[in-house]
Amino acid sequence: MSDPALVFEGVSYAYAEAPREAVSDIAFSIGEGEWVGLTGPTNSGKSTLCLLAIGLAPHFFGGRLKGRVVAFGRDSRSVSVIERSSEVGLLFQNPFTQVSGARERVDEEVAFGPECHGVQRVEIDARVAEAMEVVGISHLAARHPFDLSGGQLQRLALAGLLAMRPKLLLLDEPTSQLDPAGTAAIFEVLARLHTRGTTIVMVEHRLETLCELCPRVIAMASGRVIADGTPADVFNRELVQQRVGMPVYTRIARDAHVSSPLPVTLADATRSFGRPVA
Amino acid sequence: MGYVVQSALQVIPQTLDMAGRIQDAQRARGLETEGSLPSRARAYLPLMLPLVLSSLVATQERAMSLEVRGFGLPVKRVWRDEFVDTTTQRVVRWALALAVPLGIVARIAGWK
Amino acid sequence: MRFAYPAGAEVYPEPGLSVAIGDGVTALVGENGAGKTTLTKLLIGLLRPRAGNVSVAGVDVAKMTVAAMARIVGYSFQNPDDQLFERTVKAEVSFGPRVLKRRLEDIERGVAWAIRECGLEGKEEVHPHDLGLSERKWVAIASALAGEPQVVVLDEPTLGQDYPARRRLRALVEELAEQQRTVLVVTHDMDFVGESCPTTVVLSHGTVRYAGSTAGAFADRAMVEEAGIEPPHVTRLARSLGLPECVSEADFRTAWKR
Repeated sequence: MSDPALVFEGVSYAYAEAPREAVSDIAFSIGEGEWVGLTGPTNSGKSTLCLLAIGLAPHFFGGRLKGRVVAFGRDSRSVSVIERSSEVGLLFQNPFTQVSGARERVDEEVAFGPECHGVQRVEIDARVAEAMEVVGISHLAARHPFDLSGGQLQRLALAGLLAMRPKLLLLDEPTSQLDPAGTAAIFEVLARLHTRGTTIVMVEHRLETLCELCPRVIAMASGRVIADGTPADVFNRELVQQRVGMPVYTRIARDAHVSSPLPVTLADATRSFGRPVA
Repeated sequence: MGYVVQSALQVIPQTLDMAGRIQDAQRARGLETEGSLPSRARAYLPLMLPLVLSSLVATQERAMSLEVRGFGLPVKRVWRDEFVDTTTQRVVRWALALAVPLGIVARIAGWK
Repeated sequence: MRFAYPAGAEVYPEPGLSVAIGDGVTALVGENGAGKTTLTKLLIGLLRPRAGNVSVAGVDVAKMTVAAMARIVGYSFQNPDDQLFERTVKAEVSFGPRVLKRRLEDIERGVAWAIRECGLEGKEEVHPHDLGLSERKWVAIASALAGEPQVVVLDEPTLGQDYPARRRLRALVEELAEQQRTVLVVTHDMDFVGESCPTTVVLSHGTVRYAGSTAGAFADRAMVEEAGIEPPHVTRLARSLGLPECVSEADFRTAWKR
């Protein structure tokens, strides 16, 4: 029986010199291969949760951590972020600050992470080719990273993480700076990774997308977890509806007095309203 | 030092882009950026500060990103220049990396 | 393709590209690279057309400097960090009116209104960089409003915003429209377009593919697909249920009651 991918036990955390905790009493367990959507209003602690999961909090930011953050059986206190980086990857919002700036070709950029880990050259080449293929940028291999669009850069950053073969991938609003085409491309990659068994934790504001893609949703507000379950479970709870919001389909159904449980996706809503059209 | 110069030089086009966007944004608020010396002096902070502040934020984001990719492991790597690293060195290097593009931008922006 | 509306802004960036944007709220949509930002920059003179003319609220933009256009157009850029530099929210929001040398009482009034509309009350003395990205965006929007301009341009205001913020944005543009201002919103958020923008201009490859009612825009499915945009979620649900076309939740309520 292998360790769960990510476990938070009684976790509270405050940034250095911050008067209040950023997150309080967080507890959950995510198994390998799960795809979890993390959502909540601004400043609810979602980003902090990602930083805790990879260990940037507390290693990079200092601050006060209570409780335990355990990824694949190892406590974040006893593992540095750099050591963690061969198992856990974190993709940030801004495509432009995730480029190392030290490489002039896309394929060399993807190789950066494995090189830092001292992986053998032959193995690096194989991983780079695979990572570029999974994200769909193989045709850009010879380009200079700074010639890429925001969407392409974000896929490059993702390839850079995948080249380290992470078992857990954390994504903090990965598409919020991208246009719809760039967004769709990223989600396609994630779907592929999910079928290959990568554990995914994704922060996302667009609730319709979240409910469509993620079998499990964790909702946060004011630094606490307020719901954890299937999208239908989570968005049928009044507290979540008030503090976080709900997908358009759910709100429409509620206003039309559709019987509960309210639908959270287009397919559910079509069934709930009862008149599907071929 | 090779890494510093390399990454500093490559960051310049991005910094110039940012400088251009900042100038657009401040002009759109009514700031005069050409003309008399006093009006150019008044334009100094609104044009320079967003660049500096954004660069600092970007530096921190970049440093986090590098760490997340494993930069800094005491492992022999095949680089153009081989060297081993520490967090302090990394931070100093990024600060240095910024000094070059900022200096160039300041000169281009006309504060001779 | 040319539609005429009372007052408002008319844009003719090239021979063959002409569009008129009227009072109320208009959405400017299209794929990245379609020319949306170019169009908005032409409106305030950051870019000058090679041919044709641009007029805003009856003013010929060619005769004005960008700074002079700032008296008429409040422009909120996509990345707030491209403009924030003051030490407090209040100083930042009042920067525009101060630079334009408006009267003190006008500045006070405009700034107070902008701060209120953008949900920044109580944060006047906070350093903008101590706020999260989402709130910094609101500071940028407030900065564009503080001069109480006749025309307001919002570039991607919904990016990265949570649901309460999107709701506040809807309320804001409605209020601006009620005050008889012209509002142009550049956005990818089609639900927002359907709810709050009665008019839509669709750009594709530097040409205007459509300019008219939002309902009409999404009803033209071929055009929508070719322009690389997606219909609102409400629209998709209405279609899958065989209901008449909807672009807003209010439309749906009406359609559902049959």
